[in-house]
Amino acid sequence: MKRVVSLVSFLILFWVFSGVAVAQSLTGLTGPLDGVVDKVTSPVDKVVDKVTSPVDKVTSPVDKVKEVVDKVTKPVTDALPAPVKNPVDKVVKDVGKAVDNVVKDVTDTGNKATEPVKNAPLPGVNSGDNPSTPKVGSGVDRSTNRPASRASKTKAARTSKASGKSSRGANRPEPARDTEQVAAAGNSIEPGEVQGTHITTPATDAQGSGLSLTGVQILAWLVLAAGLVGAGAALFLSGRIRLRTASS
Amino acid sequence: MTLFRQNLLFAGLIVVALLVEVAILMWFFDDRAEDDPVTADRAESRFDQTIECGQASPSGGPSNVRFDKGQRLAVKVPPNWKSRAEGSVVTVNKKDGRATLSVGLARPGGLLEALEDLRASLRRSYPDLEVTSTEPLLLDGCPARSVAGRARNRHGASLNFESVVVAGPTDNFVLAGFLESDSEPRLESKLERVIRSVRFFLSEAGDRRARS
Repeated sequence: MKRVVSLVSFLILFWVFSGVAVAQSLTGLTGPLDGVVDKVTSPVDKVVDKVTSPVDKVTSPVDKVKEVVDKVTKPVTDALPAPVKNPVDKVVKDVGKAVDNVVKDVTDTGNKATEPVKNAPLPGVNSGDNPSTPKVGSGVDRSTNRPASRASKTKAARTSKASGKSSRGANRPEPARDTEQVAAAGNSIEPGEVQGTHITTPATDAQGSGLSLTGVQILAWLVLAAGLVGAGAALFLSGRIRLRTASS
Repeated sequence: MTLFRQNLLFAGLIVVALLVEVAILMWFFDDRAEDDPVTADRAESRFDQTIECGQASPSGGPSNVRFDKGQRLAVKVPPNWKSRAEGSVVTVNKKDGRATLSVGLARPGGLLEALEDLRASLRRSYPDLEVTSTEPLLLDGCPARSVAGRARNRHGASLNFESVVVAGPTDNFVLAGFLESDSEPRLESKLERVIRSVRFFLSEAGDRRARS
């Protein structure tokens, strides 16, 4: 009987541990977790990209300009005699400072641009209210300096044109409309957005998120394992009691 | 208790434990089984020309399908997906909005013209469309051509897509499945299975109408 009990105990323990291992491998315990982690980190990565890439775009040309300036000034300063060299070094230093200031300003501007002020007017583009601002290209490209009311009218006209197009589309033969509709279906997918500092959590379906689902599964597994262990213990105790009764 | 009985009990316990474990595993993970296509042999056999294109009638099919209004096509709706039919277009979406699939009529005529029409529509909808593969296949026994690739939609979401034009039994059909690029591989394979689950039906009279 002892042998049976020890084997049953071994079986139960093996079953519990292998069950958890199989649960991990089958559901991909790491899979759902990875999914959750990815869902959280990928918006953050996107934000970091959004922040760094404009700054990089602006600073890299400035760095190039700095290199060119260095290339031009270095031979000149090297070739100069000592008495003239000091003032020239000072000038070069000043130029370097000015370039550094430009880099700093550009970086600050880049950082500000990445803050959530996407709809703020860009300097020099929509500055019709400021009379001191020169109207760049006012005679060439009138669209940029169009008054708001006119712009809205044009927008409205465009919208009505678009709706006209869509109503015409409704009259087109069914297959063409279907193909357009089917092809455009991907536009209904919205990305996991980051709004300011608040990260929008991914929506979960009725089954719950991967994490909660796996948690429930593991919990259920452990409860069942505990039940089995309890049943084994009960069997063992009842066997002992029966043995005692028989021996007495 | 004799040794024979002890051994018998031991073997029985092993069998019971294994059965219980298998049962619990099946109970836990049966959603994987739901993902399997109902008629895998028809969907996955790519070049078996002996299979007839489409099916005679919609009767006898699985219950979780969505038909178009004319009952010319049906899409299997996976659990936790929602579906809608607008005229001849059937759309199924994952409830969290991360994946979608639409099926509708394609322009009549040759498959290549229909494919070109689809590609033009895709280019209009997604300016930075990138096609990574084009291949012929059989869908529900019907000759089809698929186009797969990547695109960015108007919300800025990076998408993977697979679009198929099918020379169905009565008409040409077009279907396109989209999902976010960073979705789980499991969702990608699920969308692929939904595409492979599309069924095409003959006209009400049951005849194979002459295709224009």
